[in-house]
Amino acid sequence: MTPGGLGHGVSRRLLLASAGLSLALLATVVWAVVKEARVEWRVWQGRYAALESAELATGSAEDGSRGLQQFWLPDLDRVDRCTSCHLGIADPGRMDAPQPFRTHPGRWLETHRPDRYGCTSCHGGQGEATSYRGAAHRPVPYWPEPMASRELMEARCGTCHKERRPRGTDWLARGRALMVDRNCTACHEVPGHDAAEVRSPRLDGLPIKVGPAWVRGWLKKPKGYLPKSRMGDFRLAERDVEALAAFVLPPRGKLALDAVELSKADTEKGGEVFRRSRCVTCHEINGRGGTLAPALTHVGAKASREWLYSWIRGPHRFQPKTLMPRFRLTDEEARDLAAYLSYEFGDTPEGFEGSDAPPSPALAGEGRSIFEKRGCYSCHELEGFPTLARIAPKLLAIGDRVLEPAPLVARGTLPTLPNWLFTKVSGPEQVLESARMPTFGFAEDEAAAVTVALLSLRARETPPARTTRDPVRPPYEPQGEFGALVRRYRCLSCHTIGGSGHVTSTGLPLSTVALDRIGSQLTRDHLERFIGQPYGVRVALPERMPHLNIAPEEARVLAGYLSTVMVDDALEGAVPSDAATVARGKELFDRHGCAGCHIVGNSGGYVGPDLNGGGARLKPGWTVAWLLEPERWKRGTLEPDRGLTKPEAEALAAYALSLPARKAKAVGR
Amino acid sequence: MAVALLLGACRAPAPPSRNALQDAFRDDALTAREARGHRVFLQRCATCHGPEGRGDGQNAYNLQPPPPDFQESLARLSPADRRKVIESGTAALGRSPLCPAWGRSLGPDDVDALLAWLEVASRPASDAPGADASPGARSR
Repeated sequence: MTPGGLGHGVSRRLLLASAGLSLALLATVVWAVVKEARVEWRVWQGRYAALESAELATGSAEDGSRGLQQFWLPDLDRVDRCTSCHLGIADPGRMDAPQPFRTHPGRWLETHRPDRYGCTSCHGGQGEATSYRGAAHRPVPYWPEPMASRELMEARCGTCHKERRPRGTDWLARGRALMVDRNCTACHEVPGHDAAEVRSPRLDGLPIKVGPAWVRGWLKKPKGYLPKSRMGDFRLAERDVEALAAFVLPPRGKLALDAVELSKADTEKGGEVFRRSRCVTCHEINGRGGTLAPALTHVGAKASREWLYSWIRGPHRFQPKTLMPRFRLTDEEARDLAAYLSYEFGDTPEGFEGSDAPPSPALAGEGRSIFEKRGCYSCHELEGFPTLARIAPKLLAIGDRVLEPAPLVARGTLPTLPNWLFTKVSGPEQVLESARMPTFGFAEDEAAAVTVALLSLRARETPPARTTRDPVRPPYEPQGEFGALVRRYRCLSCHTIGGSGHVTSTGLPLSTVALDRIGSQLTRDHLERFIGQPYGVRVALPERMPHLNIAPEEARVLAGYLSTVMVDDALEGAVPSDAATVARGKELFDRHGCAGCHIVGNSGGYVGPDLNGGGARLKPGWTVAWLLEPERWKRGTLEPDRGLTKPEAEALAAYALSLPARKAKAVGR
Repeated sequence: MAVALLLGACRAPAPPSRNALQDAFRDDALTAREARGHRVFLQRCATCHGPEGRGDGQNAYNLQPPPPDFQESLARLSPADRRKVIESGTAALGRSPLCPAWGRSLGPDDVDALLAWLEVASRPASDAPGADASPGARSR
């Protein structure tokens, strides 16, 4: 080796290049260090520290760095670093701090601790990211799960909370109920829904019920006859209407109408039966009344008097799954009622029309293929067709569907999954002209609720331990004499027992009175009287129990069973009835303003039950339990929880049960 | 300026919405919290107070003193007192006990929502909806 200078044998150019490279390397290192010190989350942590030291006025020289924060939740497969910037999220003192430091609104973190649930399991977004954009606060390309907007948050709740009505949700519960009500689950497979829920008329009896004009009008536009039709508009062409009519109208099956001499019918008496039976509890007339059953506004233009007569006498013969009870009416009453309905509600709705000519039998084959193609038999049972066609796509993972290419949505609307679902639910024809799905005519808020329910159906299942579901209970099918009466009078169309019973489109049963423990709530005598002769216990309640005309011996059987089987031993008990306790109860009654809602004597409010004769109706143990925890027994009740002590509740119950019945007042009619 | 923009947007013929679904959630001019408050109100309070808090519920005429018209009465009640009435009843302010305590039946979030809606209900009807809805209240 020749001793010499560094430059010996090395060209000057190479030396310069090497120096340049070294400088570049140095610059890169400096740049990297500076950039790392200036990353978004460090900047926020610095500002948060400044915020804190300004408050404490310490002026401490700490750099405020807490390092990258994260929650690692292996079973949810999530690493959430959101708290690296959202530093005050669990600090109740940061309600008014600027974002991203503000306290989490509401009390959600008490039930969903971030260290157990992370952030993105509720909110969506990309938890591992440490920048605003990277975390997908707003939709970003290639991240299918952007953060949910506040409006769509309930869809995220529904990922883990799989109950029909998850507590505290409005849109989700409503959307889930609407999906059942409109029979979405008849064509689409949705986890947890089966054929038993699908509710539509069988079509065997159609030819003896309606004529060609009605069928044509209905197929063209169901809402033209029933403004609240549960069946959607299939947007059928004129020829398809003809073909379907030709297929469904020829007589089939063994169903026949009962013979009746209608010339003797008295429509006036029929009107009395109509009002006395409280048909409007379930049926709507001219936009007013119940929504459990179809509106009767134009029923006379749809079905013949003979059919109405036969239906009223024995609805279950025609439609085994109908919600309608078999009222105990005499043949004359049924005849008069049929005549009244036909006469009083006989107008054809405006714009609802179709020719009365019999459809051409040659089109029946074509009609059959439309019947199959559009999945009519998914909802409507008809001999020769399987139940539940499920002709539509499965919806199990619809909330995670990646739309490629960008979907069709209404013009000017962002092509996101929520918007696509909303557009499709609102009107499938807006997405695809030839869509097989009918147009249900949802109002905007209904479509939004259904969209939320759909978005909650996710591909990635949360672990079972993290999921809440409705308890699985076998359907309640009472047997014997009691069972036969429950089926005849369709008690479970409005009431529930053990969670079984019809749920309306609001997601709740029509009656707020569950029968599970009714025998411990009400006296046997009252039950028997009420079943035989129902009246409005809560004066202002629009839904009153229909007058089924239940026979005295039947009422005895029902009341006897309810009082011996539908009981809860924990609710049995007595209250003291001495004068001092009653007086204390009276004082509490006045102090709490109970008369604002309850009638005692001749005055009081119309919100809660009339308390006159309370002791003949209410059982003492139940009354105490109810007053102590009304919300436990009936969620959302108008009876406020006053935080009474047990002795207070007992005194109030003693007073309510001591009240005499009003004299000479005919209860009922 | 945001308010001016908002007003301008109200007057112009509605352009196709960028976000049709989000709009469907917006109940008139109410924020999500106010809308929730109104739902709670309709369920628990409207039977006496009337659907919009004008003191015209179906049970109102059974009450003495009758429920007030919020548009006139609420201004006289401080936010703290409003919360007190909801949670502990009118008796807590030394008035008639006819409006009961709802604090134990309603969750804290429902009470907060109810208070937010009462703010809306106390506004005179002449206020154009939207003019007063501060955009900040709606943003996240």
